[in-house]
Amino acid sequence: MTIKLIVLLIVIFFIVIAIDMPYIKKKSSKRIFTIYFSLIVIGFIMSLLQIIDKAPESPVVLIEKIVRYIVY
Amino acid sequence: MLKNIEISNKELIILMAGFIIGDSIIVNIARAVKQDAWISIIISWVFAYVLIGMYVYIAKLNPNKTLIEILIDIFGKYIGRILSVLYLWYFLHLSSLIFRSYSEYISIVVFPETPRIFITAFSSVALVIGLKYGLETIARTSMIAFIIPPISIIIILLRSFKHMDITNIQPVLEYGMNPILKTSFGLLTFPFGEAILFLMIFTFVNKKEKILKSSFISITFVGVLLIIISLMNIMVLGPEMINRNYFNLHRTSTVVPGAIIDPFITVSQLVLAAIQIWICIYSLLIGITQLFNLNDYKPFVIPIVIISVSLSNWLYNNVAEMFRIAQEIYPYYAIPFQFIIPIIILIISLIKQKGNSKSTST
Repeated sequence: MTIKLIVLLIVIFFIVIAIDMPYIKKKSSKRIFTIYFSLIVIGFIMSLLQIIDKAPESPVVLIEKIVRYIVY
Repeated sequence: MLKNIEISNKELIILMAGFIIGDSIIVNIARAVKQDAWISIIISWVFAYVLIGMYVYIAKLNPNKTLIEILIDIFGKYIGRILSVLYLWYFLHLSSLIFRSYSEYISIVVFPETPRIFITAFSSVALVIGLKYGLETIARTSMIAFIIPPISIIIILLRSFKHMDITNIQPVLEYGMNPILKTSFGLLTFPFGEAILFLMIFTFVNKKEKILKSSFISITFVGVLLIIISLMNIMVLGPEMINRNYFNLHRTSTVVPGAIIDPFITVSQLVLAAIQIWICIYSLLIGITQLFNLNDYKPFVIPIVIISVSLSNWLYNNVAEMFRIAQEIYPYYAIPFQFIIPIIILIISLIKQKGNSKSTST
């Protein structure tokens, strides 16, 4: 099941890149290209870690610790 | 490209009202004070005029600038950019929270056997299309779709009238003012204080002199609606059930015999969640383009929505944790974004304005 989800994730990301690539090529800006692929990589890693159940602690846990340290 | 975007004041009223009401009709953080929830809402509603009035005044002192531009202008290149990144994180986090609360509601109430991630993923397709078309399309769509939530509330109100028991709001102030004031503060941060995002949208309104009036109309509408919903829930369900249920409005709609009206709530929630997520992600996209000196946000729509959907799944383990964090942690987490930094911006903007008027008079 996990492998199926990983394959599905890869296919989705390829489709997303295929949809966006013509528009990004038209812009021909290195900055847009870099930011776009950085966001794609971040999204992919976040999703992959959750699928394989290796996601680190949620950022909400850190926020809760900070709030409890300051307020409570 | 950003300079050609324009929305009317009527569209601003609808966007702001839809955004503020949002998921607060289903995520009821005032349920801790049971039958006194309506008092908390009234108190937070009054303070909302002051808070949102402050945001509008900040926009007036910094004309034609978004929040990101104001931060860089006020705090300088380095601190301004750090604060901008923090706000962009806040916008992303907010969009994920909305995705999560909306999908929890749908997966618990409507599609209990469907994995939550599929609900979020499929609904995000429509949101991506709206974002790709731009703010004007989002505003026009919201103008049409926003008719559904108030009509749904009116239908539920009329149908549940016979089942209301006015004695359920007694005893008034049973637990004293302290819990009510604490809950009012929570309500001020969620949902009213989230209007800080509109500092990214005000610059696109065509009649800027009427922004304050439009914002106050939105707050008035939202306050009245939230009080009606709260009183209706209390009088139909009673204080104990209010505290035990996560989704009170849905529960109220199911109590009415002889009519299936809970789909109205689901559709209303769909519309309101869409408006909220659109505003959050649109603000995030505009912020990214301004931070990196770009002139187009459209290439980043799909990656940002994917990150938001993924983050929404990662945030909490279950719905109980989501409500606990919303009640105990979120109000304090929102303080810097909704109060501290805006107050500093306001003070510095006023000092700058005084300085400018002195130099022009000499």
